[in-house]
Amino acid sequence: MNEPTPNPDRFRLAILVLTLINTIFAAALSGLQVDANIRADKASRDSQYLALLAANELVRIGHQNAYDSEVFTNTVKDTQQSLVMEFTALELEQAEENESAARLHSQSQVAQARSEQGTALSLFYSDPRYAPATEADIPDLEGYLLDQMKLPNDLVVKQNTATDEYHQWNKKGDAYIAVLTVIAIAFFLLGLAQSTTRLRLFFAISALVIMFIAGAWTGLILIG
Amino acid sequence: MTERKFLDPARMDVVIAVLIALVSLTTALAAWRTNVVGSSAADANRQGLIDALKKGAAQNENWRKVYEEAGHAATFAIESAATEAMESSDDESLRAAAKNLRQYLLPSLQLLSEPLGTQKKYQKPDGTFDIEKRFADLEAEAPDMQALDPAASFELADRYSSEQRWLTMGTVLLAISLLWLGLAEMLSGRARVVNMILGTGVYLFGLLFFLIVEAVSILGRGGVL
Repeated sequence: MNEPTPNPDRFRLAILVLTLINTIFAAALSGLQVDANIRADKASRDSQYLALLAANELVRIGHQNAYDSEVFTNTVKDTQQSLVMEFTALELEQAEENESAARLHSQSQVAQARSEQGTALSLFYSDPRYAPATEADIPDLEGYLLDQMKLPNDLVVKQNTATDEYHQWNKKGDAYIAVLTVIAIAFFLLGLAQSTTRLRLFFAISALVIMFIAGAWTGLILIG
Repeated sequence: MTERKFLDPARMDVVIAVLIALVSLTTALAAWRTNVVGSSAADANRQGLIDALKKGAAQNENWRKVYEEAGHAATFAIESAATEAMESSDDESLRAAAKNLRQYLLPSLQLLSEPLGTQKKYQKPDGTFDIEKRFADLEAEAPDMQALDPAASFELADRYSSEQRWLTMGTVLLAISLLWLGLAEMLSGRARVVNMILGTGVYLFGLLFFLIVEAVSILGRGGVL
């Protein structure tokens, strides 16, 4: 006849322990979220700084290329001008137009003087990395361009790595926020479990399931 | 008798309430300080990027100036060589032209090519111009720009970020102690005392941890907050 009255404090300690575990979990997750944000900020800064360095290096290379190629093309032009004038002077000599031939010969020497000075000034002839092995060869223009682009290319590779790192940590930080929101739901359910007697177990189990999901999600973020 | 008086529920309620208030206040202060340190890290990063932009702009201008000078210096050197060739030519008209070039054109070109094309210290043994040296000299002419050090700002930002990480851990410890004290408020008897002692212990440990992190970080920055 007499039904046993339900104990109002039943499972209350278990719920307190669950709340405690949830709090510690939330605290640890906050720490992880702060850490992910710090790493994302650092990677973002590095990415911006490296982009700036690469851009500056490209500007410097632009100035250097303009100067090197101008000296080089003028030198080639003067060399060819000198040769053509010399050939023409020889042709005129054969045609016995000696006066014109002598004038052209002098002009050829002037062009040659320009060419020799240009050769002395040009990196393509003075630097052993690019200088032609024989007079018949041309300078190693490809090697020059590869060397010029090495530093900016290296900087861009580092910049891309930093950008990828930024996206990775930023995504983790966002995911931790989502897990913290899920944990807030678990807190809400644990609060409900504290305040009710009849549905206490239902709310406590629901909170436990949500805590488990949050824990698994955190694990996936950590290894991801 | 003494123990019973100490465990008096009404007295314990007040003690725990005071402790909770104290821990809440400390946690709020710790959260504030942690945020301040985070802001300092962001400020240092921002300063570093601004310095890098300023320095980069100044360097770009210096490179432009150096290569402009180099262009003029090359023209001067080439035209000087051509004039010398004209002077030693058999052609009378070329010799006459050379005389005028030396009188009118070369001085103007020389003026444009200064100092890279005229000063010995900028001539390399292989005949080319020492462009790097001229660039270094131009940099030295603007010591305020040379003093800008983005890497130093980034290093400072990293130190602040590292401190922020540790301070967050300290704040978490303080928050956890609040939970134990909350449990103590709800429970009774020995369990209440145990939870209160645990909460107070975690709080004191968290506080000490926080203060040590602060002291070490501030000393590491040479006394800068």
